[in-house]
Amino acid sequence: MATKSIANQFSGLPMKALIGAPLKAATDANAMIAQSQTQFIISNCFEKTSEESDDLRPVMIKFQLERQVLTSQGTPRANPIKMDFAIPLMTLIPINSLAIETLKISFQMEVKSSREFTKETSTERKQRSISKGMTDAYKSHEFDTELHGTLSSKGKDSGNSSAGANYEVSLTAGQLPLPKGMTAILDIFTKNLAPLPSKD
Amino acid sequence: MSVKTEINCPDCQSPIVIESNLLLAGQSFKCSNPQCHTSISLSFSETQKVAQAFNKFEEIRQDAVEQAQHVS
Repeated sequence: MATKSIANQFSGLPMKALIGAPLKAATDANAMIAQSQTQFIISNCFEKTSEESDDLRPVMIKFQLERQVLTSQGTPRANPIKMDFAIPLMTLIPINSLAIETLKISFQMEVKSSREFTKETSTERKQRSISKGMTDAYKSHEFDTELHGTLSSKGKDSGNSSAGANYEVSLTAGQLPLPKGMTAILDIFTKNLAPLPSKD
Repeated sequence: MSVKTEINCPDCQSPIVIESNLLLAGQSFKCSNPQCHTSISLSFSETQKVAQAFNKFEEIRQDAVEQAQHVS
């Protein structure tokens, strides 16, 4: 019952804002990163086919390939074969690595209800009784007898009760793979690398 | 900051791991297939073009890091 009433205290919390706000900020940041990546790809990895045309072609980068070959006798040739080949600049850049990879929102709230009480009572009563002439046998002297007494009682009552509830929310946003179109372009580019013998 | 990337070997299609700093310094990279004996290197004439692209990519990467820090 007590736990239920504590849980009710969470009902008024703006969970949507508490969890959603950082998630939205991360999404917005990812969108900005994706946009700048797209701009980077278009402006750096592609070039116009001609001044008049809006068509783009990939920027190609020349590489040199060296390979050891065997002679007809089966022995390695003294000079390795050199060839030129070109690959799109785009395939050299690890494009899909730019994104917020993991987002973990840990929201922890503790509502604790505790009650402690101490009750202490103390009563003291002083009593004084005076009696005169206790018995006849003591009549030769007159006695005044006084009795003093204190009656005290002390009581202590204490107690402690507590109840708590914990809410923890964890969200993990992972990185999405490259779009299929982009993967297809990169795949075509990388599979069509054909080395050509060098002119010299 | 050096960027690691990989391209397929033009001969055997096995991956060749490339490190941007070493690539721009003119180093050649061997194919990961031990039977292949192929190595590739960037043509000297292309160094500036590739360096420019990597620098631009690094700028975007830095922006991404800043964005991520801003979120957290």
